[in-house]
Amino acid sequence: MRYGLVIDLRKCAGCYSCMAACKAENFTPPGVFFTRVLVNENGKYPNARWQFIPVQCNHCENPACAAVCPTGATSQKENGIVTIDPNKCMGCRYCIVACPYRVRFYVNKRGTYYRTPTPYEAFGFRARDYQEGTVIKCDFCSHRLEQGLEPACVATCTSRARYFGDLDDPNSEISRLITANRAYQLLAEKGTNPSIYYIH
Amino acid sequence: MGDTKTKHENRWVRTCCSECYAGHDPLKVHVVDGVVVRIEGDPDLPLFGGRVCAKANSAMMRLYDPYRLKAPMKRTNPKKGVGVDPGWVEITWEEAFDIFVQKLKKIREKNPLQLYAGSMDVHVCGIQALFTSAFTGGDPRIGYFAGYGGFCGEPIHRMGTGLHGSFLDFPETRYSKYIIVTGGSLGEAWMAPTILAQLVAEGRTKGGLKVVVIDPRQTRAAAKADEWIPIRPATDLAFFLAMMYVLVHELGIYDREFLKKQTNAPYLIGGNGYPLRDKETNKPLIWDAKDNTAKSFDDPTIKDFALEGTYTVPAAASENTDKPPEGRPAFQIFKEQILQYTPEWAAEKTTIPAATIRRLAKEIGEAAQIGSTIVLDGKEYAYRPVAVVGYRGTNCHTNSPKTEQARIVLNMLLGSNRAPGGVAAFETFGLSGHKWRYPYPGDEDGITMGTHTLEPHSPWKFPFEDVGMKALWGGGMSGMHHAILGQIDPKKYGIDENYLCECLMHWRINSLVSTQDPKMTAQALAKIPFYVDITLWLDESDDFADLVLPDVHWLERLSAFNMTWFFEGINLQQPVVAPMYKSMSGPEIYFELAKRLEIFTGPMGMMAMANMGLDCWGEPWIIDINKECTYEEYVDAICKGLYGKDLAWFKEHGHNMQLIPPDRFYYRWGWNQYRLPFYWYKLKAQGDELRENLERDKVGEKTNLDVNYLCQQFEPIPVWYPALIHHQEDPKYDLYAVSGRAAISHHSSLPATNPWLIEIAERDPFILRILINHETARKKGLKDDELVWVESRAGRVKGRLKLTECVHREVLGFYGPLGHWMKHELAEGKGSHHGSLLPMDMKTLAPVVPALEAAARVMVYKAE
Repeated sequence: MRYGLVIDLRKCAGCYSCMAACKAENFTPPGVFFTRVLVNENGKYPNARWQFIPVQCNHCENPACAAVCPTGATSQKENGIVTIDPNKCMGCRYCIVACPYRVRFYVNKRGTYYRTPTPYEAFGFRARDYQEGTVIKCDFCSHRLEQGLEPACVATCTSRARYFGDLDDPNSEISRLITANRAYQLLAEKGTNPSIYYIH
Repeated sequence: MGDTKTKHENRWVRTCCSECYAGHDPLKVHVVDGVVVRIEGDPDLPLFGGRVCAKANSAMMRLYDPYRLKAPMKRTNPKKGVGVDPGWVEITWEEAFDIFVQKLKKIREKNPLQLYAGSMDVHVCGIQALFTSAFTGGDPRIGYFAGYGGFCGEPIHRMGTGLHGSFLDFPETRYSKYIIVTGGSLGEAWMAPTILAQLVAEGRTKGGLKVVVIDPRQTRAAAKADEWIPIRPATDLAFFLAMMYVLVHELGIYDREFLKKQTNAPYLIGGNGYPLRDKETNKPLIWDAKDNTAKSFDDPTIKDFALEGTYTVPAAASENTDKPPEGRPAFQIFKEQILQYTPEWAAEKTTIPAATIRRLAKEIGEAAQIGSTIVLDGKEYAYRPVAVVGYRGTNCHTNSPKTEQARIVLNMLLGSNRAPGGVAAFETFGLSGHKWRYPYPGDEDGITMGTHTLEPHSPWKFPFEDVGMKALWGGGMSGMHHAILGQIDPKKYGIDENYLCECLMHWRINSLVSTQDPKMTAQALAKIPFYVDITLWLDESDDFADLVLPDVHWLERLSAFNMTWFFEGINLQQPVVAPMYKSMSGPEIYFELAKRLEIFTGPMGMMAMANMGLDCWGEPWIIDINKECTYEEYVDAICKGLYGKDLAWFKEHGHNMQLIPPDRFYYRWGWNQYRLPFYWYKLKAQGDELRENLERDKVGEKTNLDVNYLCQQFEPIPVWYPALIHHQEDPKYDLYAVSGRAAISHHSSLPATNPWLIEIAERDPFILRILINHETARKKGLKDDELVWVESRAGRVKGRLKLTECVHREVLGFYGPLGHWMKHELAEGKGSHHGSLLPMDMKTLAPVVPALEAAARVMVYKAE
């Protein structure tokens, strides 16, 4: 079992619902979005188009972040998900430098959107143990997977561009999509073997 | 009893979204100890599949916005002006109701039509209409005042209900093969975005669906479409006319059977522009091409309806007794009219190359597969899997009445109105459409009338008896932004001063931001003696309010409305958490006001109006009209009356929505029962009547109104009109400024205050900036990220440029509604306020329907 995600870029319309759902689900501090949508512009007028590329932790098979972590805070679970143990993380941020994908975030200050926390944020402080001086990132909504749910970004995607499943199972929907569409990984040449594939 | 231990609350509650007007998606909301901690879509409903947009996902940040208005307040500073402190003093609800009811009582005694009201909370605004109807004793001239302005798609409502029984239309998509979108943010902020985004994405990746987006600026849909074709603003009409020219005159591709049997295209039209009628029966006549004779349109012996030719018709009634009248089928008149609209002609207007127009016409004409059928649920339907749809691009310009007519008639040529895969329709907001009358009723001429109509309903009176001068446009949907003009200067427009706005009540409306030219709006608001705002925040317009009442957020509110789009049934909105602060929901405020004014019960009371709205005109009443009830009891009565299930059932299940079955979803006028007015002679009649009224009362001499202008665009068929912005103003205004909305945008009455959405917008390269084409910027020596002024004859706004290839070279692209100046630490100063560029006068309003011109001629220069 190795969890993976396929993102069909033909479908993604850059609506940002994944960014909002991820924030809502994970109570991330101001300035942090575990998943983001990058916007590119290609071509010349009038044949120019915007392109939307969602990015987040790739849960690489060979995580460059884990390799440099001096305390063992970053590790990989058997299901392929790369996690950070906040109690072991000392905030050295080597991982942020090592990660080729820029999807790790250092919590300098927990912060709130207004001067005082909203009731939602106050609940978030109790629900998520993001400690100041540590690094945080996407964990494929592990708490949802335990309940048999898909990650929040997948469940909310308004154009159904995201598919979640088991990369090890050749018959899973995502394995079949990867084969049928010659899906590719970001920066495959780095040798990290990401668990996120893109269809173009 | 006696258990003092607090119970831990952890539950999911079903409700539905009112974060914007477009979706009302069913939701489930996670509540822990009285706090909303998560909002998700309802995964069990088909087509939605639990997918919701960024706004719904973020709604708790709006619920918990610390800037929310917390208690009723009254003004102490009599001086009103932008940025002038009203000197708010907190008062109790009792005091607030006392003040308000005193005021309302006086107005009601003097002239109830001096109360004006508006709401842009489309899911519950029906309650306000019930209140105002009861207040005025059912007078159809109930006043609206400067509401949602530039946002409203008014022409699509008026032309849509008249031409094909549709309040709004959208691409059916499930069975579609070719969709042309003209100026609408498909899948973003327009028409069931979460459903259409899924369907379009699926259709395009599976193959078989082609999408073409025609828009001055690239929308998300345009970015994903097979083609984005930039067009000069407000020239969509020329594009549609040329498409029709190619289909009819060059390709001969049009749905003859549909035109003959489902429209009035074969009706014989006489020299006066109206149908020739049978001498005996007065029925409109057609020409039977086989029998070579005129027959009544509904004669069962008709063998073939002639669409072309000129005929002498002795059977027709005529004033001239010497000679029998001549008649031509309506289609013949149309065909001759469009002969001048060649692709070459349109290319000059639109900047779309003639070859592209020819190609698109051919592609969509072939994709319509005219003659084909499809079997759905065991029944066969004509299958026309093509749709030409639009929103702001076709609705927010001074030539929009004709643009919308042309768009709908273009669909008629393709036979795609209400076809499987064609143009589907949204019938109505609120609960009024619950009966789903099928087929639509028709008139004596065999023309369908839709479930409701926006035909003129204001009787002609001059001087005008309302500041919005409704009689000039008949209906009027848009919250009457033009009431601004009348309130400022009633003499200039011939308005009876006994009808000036004495009291304005607004609910979830922010006129200063949502209409054009805030300076003018401010002038008008300052001239209103008493202005009450039911609102979540102290917004820009509240600088002019006398009383502000704290509304609840929709997560704290009870409401029941129909889900339309693809569904029928009740979609319940229920208080997921208790109202915060001293807020009270709008419906409850109106209930309390009606009870205190003693207009709640009785045959013309608010509950009687509610029954009529539900199509219940007598015993047994759905809601007892003789007994006072609470708002909750009212909703319960509706649930039981319409669906036999009580409120408790709906609170548990959230909704009873079901997909509308095909036999009621397609061809709602009843196949072979009624016809669509391809040749809309009723519109012509309205224009003729308006001219007669204006001339008889010498309105042109007594006022500043331009009678000829007001009588334009009433032709029964599509013809070309330029928009105001095409007339060359001062040549220094060399560009057009247009605005649009993104998936994270609210409509123009809701401020952009959500911190998550603002944070997302800040990460987007475009949303908070002014888009300019690289080439245009280069010629002007302007750089990316440069701070600039954009100036029109109305005013100027500051903003940051974003250089892009994805906007028309004559256009500056804005996102809206942004550029707030209200006191909110996150919203203030984000983006630029496009509305400040839009001039406001009678010429910025369309005739027929008062669509306002939502694009402006502008210049751009570096800010020092």
